[in-house]
Amino acid sequence: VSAGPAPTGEERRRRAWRLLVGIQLLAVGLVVVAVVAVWIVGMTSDLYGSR
Amino acid sequence: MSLDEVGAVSQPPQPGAGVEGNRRLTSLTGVALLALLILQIASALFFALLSYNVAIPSGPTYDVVRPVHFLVGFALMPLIAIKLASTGWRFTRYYTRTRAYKAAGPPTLLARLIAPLLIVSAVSLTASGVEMWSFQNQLGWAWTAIHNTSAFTFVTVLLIHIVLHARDAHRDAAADLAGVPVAAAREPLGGAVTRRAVLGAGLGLGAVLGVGASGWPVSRLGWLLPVHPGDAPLDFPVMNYEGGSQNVDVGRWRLRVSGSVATPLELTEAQLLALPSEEHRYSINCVTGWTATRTWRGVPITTILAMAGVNPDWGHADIRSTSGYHWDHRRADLTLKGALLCTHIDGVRLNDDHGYPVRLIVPGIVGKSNIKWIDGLEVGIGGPQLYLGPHVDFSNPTVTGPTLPRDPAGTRR
Repeated sequence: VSAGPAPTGEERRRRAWRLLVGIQLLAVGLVVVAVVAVWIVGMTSDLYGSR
Repeated sequence: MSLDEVGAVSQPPQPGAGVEGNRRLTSLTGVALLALLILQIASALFFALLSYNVAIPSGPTYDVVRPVHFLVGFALMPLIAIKLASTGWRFTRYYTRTRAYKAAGPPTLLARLIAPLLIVSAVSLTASGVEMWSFQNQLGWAWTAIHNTSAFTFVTVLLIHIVLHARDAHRDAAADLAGVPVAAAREPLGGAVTRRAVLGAGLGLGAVLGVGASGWPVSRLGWLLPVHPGDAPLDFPVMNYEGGSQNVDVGRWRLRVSGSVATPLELTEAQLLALPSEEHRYSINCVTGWTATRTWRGVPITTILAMAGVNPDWGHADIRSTSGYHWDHRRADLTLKGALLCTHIDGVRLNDDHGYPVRLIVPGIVGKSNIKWIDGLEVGIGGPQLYLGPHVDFSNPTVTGPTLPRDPAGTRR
């Protein structure tokens, strides 16, 4: 299997850029998911007993 | 030895390499900080809403968000230190007129103007947070005010800082991670491994501090936690900033239920203890970081309210303490299974420290709103009070209500 041509500096830079932006989006996504999950759990959970 | 290595050895240092290396370390650290700050600001917003008594789903929310705020807060510290060191280096070199840094020029005027505010607010925010965590809010609410003021200042200035720097920081950090040379140079900028090692060490140290200070996600890893509840029923921290500790004379004490009820009540301790009680086991989670899991016994709040003929449209009840401290609770919380007027913990009658003769305990709410030494429930229609202004209980920790004399010997049961 051929490894293919090594990525150029520009390609590596773009990948790194996507990785870093992805980390920020992951942080934002975590917050959004947490808020939605908390909302759903808060409305429906029986963790602390029903009302 | 490869041709590249030969070239690396034989080439002189890249012009401005020190400036560029400094810029890249600042950028890498800034990018890592931003991701953590997004999480931290979100958890801080949650804490603020809780403090203001805004209706947000509590329960499991609070159990998770509280340790996250402590974990991320401590994890941020090493990174903030690296960023201050990195930017401080540039600052010093520029003003000591080092040629390369002088040639690279200063940041933009706006960035320079807001930098002191950003640094001061970040340091005071961190310091006040550590103080509140380490001393369990026992040193007064001034620290809370400092923390909140610093937070508002920091976030405001941070937004400007992000607008000014985020794009370039991500570009420079990506260039460093990709090993891209500085413009007009052929070789990747040296020191990339060192920069990654510094950042990695900061992240690693932050993780150790964060887990140690929060005890999350594994409580036995909380090696930094300043308070550990014991195993005995009443052996968990006593937080008396809510108006001071009380010694209630139960001969004079009454539990009053008033407001939107058909029949206002005045119950003696004996009458309260004679009512059917329930036991529920769950944790009380203090805003300062500790958690204690106990079996709570007491009279369901719904039972008391039903006895008083509560208005079917009731929306909240202000739970009042003999100390003057009170917290206006939402109906949604007070009607949870396990929401009790608690008289016993793990089968042991409350003592003075823990709220004798009766305290509130509601699953999943912030610990400090579980009022001790209760002497009143005032039921209302609509939503609860919002504590948007100065919270009376925060700004005035002295006793605002009647302080009853010490309980005569022999009345405890």
